[in-house]
Amino acid sequence: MTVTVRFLLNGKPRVARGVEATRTVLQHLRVHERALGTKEGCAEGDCGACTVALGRPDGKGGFEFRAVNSCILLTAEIDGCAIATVEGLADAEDKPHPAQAKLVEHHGSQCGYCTPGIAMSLFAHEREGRGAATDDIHQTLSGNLCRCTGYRPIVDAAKDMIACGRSAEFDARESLWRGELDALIANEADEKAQIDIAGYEAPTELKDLDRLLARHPQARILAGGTDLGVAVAKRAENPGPLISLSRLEALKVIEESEEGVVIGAGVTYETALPVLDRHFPAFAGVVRRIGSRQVRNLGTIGGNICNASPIGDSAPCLLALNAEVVLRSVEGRRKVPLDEFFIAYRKTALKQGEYLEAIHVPYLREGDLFRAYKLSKRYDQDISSVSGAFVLKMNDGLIVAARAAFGGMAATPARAVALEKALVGATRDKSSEVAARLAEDFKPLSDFRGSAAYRLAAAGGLVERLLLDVSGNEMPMEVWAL
Amino acid sequence: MNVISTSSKEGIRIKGGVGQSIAHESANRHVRGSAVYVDDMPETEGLLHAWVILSDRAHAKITKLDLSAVKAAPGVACVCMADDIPGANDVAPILSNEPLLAKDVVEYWGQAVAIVAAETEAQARAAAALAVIDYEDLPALLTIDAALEAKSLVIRPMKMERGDVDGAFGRVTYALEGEVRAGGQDHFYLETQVAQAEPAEEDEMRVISSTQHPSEVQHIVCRLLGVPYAAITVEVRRMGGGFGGKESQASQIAGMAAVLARLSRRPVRLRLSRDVDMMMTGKRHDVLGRFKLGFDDHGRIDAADIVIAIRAGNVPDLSGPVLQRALCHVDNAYYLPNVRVNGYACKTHTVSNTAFRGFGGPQGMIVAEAMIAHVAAKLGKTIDEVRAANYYGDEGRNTTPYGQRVTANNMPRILKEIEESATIAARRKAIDAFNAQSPIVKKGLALFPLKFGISFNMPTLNQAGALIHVYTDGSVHLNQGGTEMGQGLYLKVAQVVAECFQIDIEHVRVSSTRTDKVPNTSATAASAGSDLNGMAALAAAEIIKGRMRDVAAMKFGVAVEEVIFANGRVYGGQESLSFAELAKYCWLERVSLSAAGFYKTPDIHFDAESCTGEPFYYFTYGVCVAEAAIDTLTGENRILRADIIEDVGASLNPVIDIGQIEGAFVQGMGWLTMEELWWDEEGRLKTHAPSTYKIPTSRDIPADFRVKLLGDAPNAKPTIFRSKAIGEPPFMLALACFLALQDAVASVVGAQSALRLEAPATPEAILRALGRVE
Repeated sequence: MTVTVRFLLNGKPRVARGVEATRTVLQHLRVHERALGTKEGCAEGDCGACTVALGRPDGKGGFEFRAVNSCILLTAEIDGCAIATVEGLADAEDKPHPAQAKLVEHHGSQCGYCTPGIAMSLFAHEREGRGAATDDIHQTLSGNLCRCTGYRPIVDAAKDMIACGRSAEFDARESLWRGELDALIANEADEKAQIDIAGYEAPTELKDLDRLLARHPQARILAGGTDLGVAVAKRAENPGPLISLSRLEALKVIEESEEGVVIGAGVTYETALPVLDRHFPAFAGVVRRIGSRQVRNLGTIGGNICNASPIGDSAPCLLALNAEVVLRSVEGRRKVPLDEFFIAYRKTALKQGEYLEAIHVPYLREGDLFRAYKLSKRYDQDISSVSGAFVLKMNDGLIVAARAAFGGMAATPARAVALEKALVGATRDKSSEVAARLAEDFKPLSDFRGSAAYRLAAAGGLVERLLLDVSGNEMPMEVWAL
Repeated sequence: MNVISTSSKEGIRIKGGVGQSIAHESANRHVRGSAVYVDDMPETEGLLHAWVILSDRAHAKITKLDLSAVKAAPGVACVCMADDIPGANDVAPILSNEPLLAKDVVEYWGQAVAIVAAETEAQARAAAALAVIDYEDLPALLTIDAALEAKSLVIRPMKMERGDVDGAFGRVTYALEGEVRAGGQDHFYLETQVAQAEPAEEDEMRVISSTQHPSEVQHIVCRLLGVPYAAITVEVRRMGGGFGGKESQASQIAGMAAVLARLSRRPVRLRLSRDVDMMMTGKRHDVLGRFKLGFDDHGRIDAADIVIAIRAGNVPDLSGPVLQRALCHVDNAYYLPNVRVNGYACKTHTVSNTAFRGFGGPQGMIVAEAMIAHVAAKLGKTIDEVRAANYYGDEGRNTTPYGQRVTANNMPRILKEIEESATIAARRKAIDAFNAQSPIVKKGLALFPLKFGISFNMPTLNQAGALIHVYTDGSVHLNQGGTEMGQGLYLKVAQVVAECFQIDIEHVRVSSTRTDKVPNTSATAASAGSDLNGMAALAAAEIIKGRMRDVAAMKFGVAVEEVIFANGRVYGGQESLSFAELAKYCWLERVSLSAAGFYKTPDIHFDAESCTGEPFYYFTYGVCVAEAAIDTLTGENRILRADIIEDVGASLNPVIDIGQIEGAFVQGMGWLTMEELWWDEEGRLKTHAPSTYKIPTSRDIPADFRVKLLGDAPNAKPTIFRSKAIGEPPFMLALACFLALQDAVASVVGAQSALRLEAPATPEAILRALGRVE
């Protein structure tokens, strides 16, 4: 089973026929296009050497370019998009894009193997119109490992590139590229992905998704693909038939409704961030540490929930926030509280033929405090050893009710019920006793991310941090606040 | 300051000469994606792709190895196990009996058992998964402690002794015992190990290998194939990072490709996946240091009895030299009058560890610093007070434990400069005040002084060759025995040649390193790349220049001494020619414009048995002051600021040197703070990819990062343009970060308890040192 994929590669129209559903964009570039500037460093979306810019047509005659890991992105998913690689950045006169020129000027390459990916991340930063805030630059680079330079010259190159402003030359090329893509899609209208559930299908209407899934309950749903792509690329797994959400615009909507925020199952982390910043800044803070920018540009909160990893970083926040999930199938919809959704290790309440449509996150009430903390060996792009999220109902400076949830402490992300009780009325001077109640809630495992003893101690540390935080401490409470 | 004659005309400088800050020779290709790495080479007709079948036991007898399904799988052209290797199944770089493919017994989880080549990489991989291997488990030693207890070593113990240690212990005022541990480290070069082997006529073969040591790849491929060295040519244009990981280890990958190419009679490419690379290939040795110290009231050490045990893994590989260098750096910058060091390279059933930037130096120095810290804690003194009592000094206190005198010691000068530039005293006060106020976050500050010996410990290895051709258009082809892994060696050597000929660097074309152009080379390692190869290239260039000068003198009718090369021209009397015109004229006069150059480091000697001699041509110095912060509730930590002054002599290229310093330092930070190799109880490495093994990202570098080269400090020894080596030394400067974290821990639990901190100082390690985790 293969598909036909129409896309633009560095401005050149491409119609790739006979593409296996499991072929990654990196494989396509390196093996089939022999476009060799893009490198493989890990095949799991963690090093960024394979970074390319994925351009989805925007409403302004250009593209929304986003940095993505081509090693875990399936080629079928780029139908109708533009791909820019490092070979496509310099202009016809071979004048480099500022991302490239500044990397040379600041000595941002040594061995050069990570450099194409870094150039693409900087290019996407420039195309997205992002600024020079140091934190934002680190986010842009969080998915690009460099083992040679120590990053300082790369950060300097990024700042200098941003100071140069938006590249007008590339703006002009972008509109030419858009014309090429529109022409390609118009000419090759019949070449769009074939309808064949044996391999890969990308429905455009929810009702089609309902029916497809009813008929083929064994099919895997492909949202951002940042986990499934790893299974395919790194472990050479064949995931079987795939149903992609990439064309389901209805699922890509995040709404601020009367009661709360409704996050469509296809909403990426990066798309969700501005809304989360408005209503749940602590959640946004955690989301900014999920994966890298490349991962957040593809990965979805819905996918994170459905994966039901014990450490999925969205889950503790959503549990603490008392979120509900909307599950949908041909038979209709049902709403399930998130704490009833996670059943066991990587097992959810989804029935055969059912899928996650949206996540409802109720707004905080006046006076509620929401805090979320993530612990990992590395600040950026690391899976949590422990994460904790807390919603505290306050009255007169005292905690009168609490919801607390943790990741990394049990087989699923889970509420800490004993802790929640102990938090009521708790004060700072009792913080270590309150934290000790976690031992009643959790018996964590030991692994390379942390021993059971560390997990319990550090989770307790988060509770102590929380109580200090709500007591109005003036001094910095985290090393990253310095 | 340069002792080698190069002429120049006043006030005119060529572009890209020695000492100029110019960009990496491939920088423009890097950013365009047009720099070609091994896996980017054209796929030649009939190219096969290979995959490696790994063991999934730490120590076991192979009771059955059935590869019939692998052979029958689609696309498979060739399958090879130990018995199919045409020559000797041995990839040992120094000793012998280090198998390419396990036979009968596997000795670590991830050891190669068989290899398969197929039409596509996906087919080779799919076929590899069909291997059927049955095992009978054997007891496995997984840790240094277990190996020490079982007296399991890969080589004989090593001993270095000077003075009367036992006698000194009898007269000291204080004595203490201590211990320190540091974990290993994966190289995490961004380009995984890769090689391509192309059979040629008869037994000949061309091997393109991502290697720091083409000559060794050549020798080992020949051993595996049973052919003479002259039959095999090994070539490398560039690596996507090396760091020592492609010194001895690259031979395995090239060897596998070569064996499969010989058996299939087709070209074969083997590129390890990240996971296979991290499971199968060696890493930095983890270390256990134990010491007994005798000292006086000032903390001046009189007696030191030290044990350094490193985890070698299943075979020796380079563990002997690594251990030797650890022993030779356990003094770091301190005089140890009576000292005994016993070194053990422990045999364990884990992957064989190997060279990694610093090559035992970091392991030796972390023990040195632990010794100083233990003395300080015992006496209630600051670490810097104890250091001051122990630094190498004048005559009588300037001989290393192996008997080499420490001369031209730049340490006092650097310490003085950094004391001021890093405002140490004022910041110490500010940090104490902060810690008194801050209940959760605590800061620490620490200095680390570095003395590092330059040269391979084994004198023989300190030799190099180069080959230069000048063409009749004045362009220069430069080939030398060193390899380019990102460190800028090609550029530095090209600068040397440009300087010598007095031509702009754009006329000097560096070419890939090949065993058929420069033979019998040493690894590009030990920070010695530009010292050795720069000198060899200069020697070659001087030979040609001498011939050209003779021709010019004749043509201009002047004495040879009156011929001057400057700014792209050659002058004599009132006449001059462009360099290109003179080259053409030499050809017309039938004068050779090609020469091989050779260099050997003078004045070094070392007896490996007794660990005595003068193995190092010179020492290089550096100091780092680091400021760190810890979260006492979670163990999270961060390096806030680092100030570095590094002695690079007269820099060949300051921006390249600064790049080496920053990169090495951040890599050292990774070793000491976050990079954790974690094995389970069965000896399975569970951190074998970037998702689980965390190297620093851009956010992790010091928010305030100040790097300076020591000014006006030409090497006292006549090295290449009086420069000093740079590749490894700054790696160890990151020890300041570890000590700063320890200082922050000490602010909570006291100096004595803070000594519990182990490297890497992960959040968990910090909480353990704080006593919050059992």
